[in-house]
Amino acid sequence: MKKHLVSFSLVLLFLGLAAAAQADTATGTLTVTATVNSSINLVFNTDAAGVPLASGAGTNAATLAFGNISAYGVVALNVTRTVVPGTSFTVSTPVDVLVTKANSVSANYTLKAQLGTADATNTWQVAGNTITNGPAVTITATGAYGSNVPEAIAITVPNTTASGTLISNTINFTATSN
Amino acid sequence: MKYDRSRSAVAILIGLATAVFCIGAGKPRRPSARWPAATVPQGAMSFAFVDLPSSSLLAGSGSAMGQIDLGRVSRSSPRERDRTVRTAGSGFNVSTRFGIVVTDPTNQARTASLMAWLPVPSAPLTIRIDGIRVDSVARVVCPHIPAGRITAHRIDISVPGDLTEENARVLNDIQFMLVPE
Repeated sequence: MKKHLVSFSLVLLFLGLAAAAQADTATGTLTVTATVNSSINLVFNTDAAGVPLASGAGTNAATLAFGNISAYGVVALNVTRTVVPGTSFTVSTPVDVLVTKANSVSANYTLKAQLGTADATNTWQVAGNTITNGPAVTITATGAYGSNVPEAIAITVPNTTASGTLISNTINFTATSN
Repeated sequence: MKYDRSRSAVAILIGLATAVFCIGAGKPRRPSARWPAATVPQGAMSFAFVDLPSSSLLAGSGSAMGQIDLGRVSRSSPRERDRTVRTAGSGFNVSTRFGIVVTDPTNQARTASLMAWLPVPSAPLTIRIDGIRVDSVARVVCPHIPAGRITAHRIDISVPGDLTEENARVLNDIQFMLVPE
């Protein structure tokens, strides 16, 4: 009889501990879902051989200021000038375009450019391609992700332009993953 | 003979244990009547996921089985009311907030710790609760949660840039366990 009582106490001891362990905790589940979409990003950077961006370097909205330009006068550092005597002159400087991708299997990208507003007087070029405010022009069809690609920005100004004339426009760049 | 000695030893140990637990009880009681009253709590604490005013992505608010759908997210996703996307290296982090309310039926103003773990590995994603990485090992992510109040918590998911559209669906269960302190 005594042996039976001891055994009973033992069982109660372990049952009691087990009950305490279970009752003192509560469990729950949080299910988290999301769908990852691919994306690419374009920013402008100052090129080592170019005019420093006046603002917006490292973003997708930058400002490039050539400063005072003329056919024969002094131009700013890193501005390249070519002159067609008696007709026009062209100023040019490279700007880096950096396109990065995330969560994409795309191998490269297509870069297009378009002038923001019409310019009937001056000629605008990106990497040797004349751009207008018409359809966007393809600058490259095989752009490499993740590295700064220098794109020459050029403006050709006729000699008939009056001194002191402000030239300003917007170039819209669009990168599309291939 | 050896068998009898062993049984005697067991009987002595259990007898000591019983005596220790009976001390302080005033009157000696039969062990069978004392154990349940001494070890089973009067009311077990519980918890539930709840929406926050600043975030309403949680489904199943008010229960311990919550669901959060972060929707379609990318590195360039704009900031929204319910979720935040931040770039991180070549990838990004997406985060949202949710609430937890702990209930204590005993009304003793107790606190509890919340532990979390993943039953299924999340790699290459990284999941954090209140900044603490959650993986297959249960660990405390929210200590000292007071009962009776809604506390706000944040879940962050780090998505590496090389995770492609081909395996873009993110789905995981985060297991939580509330441990009274």
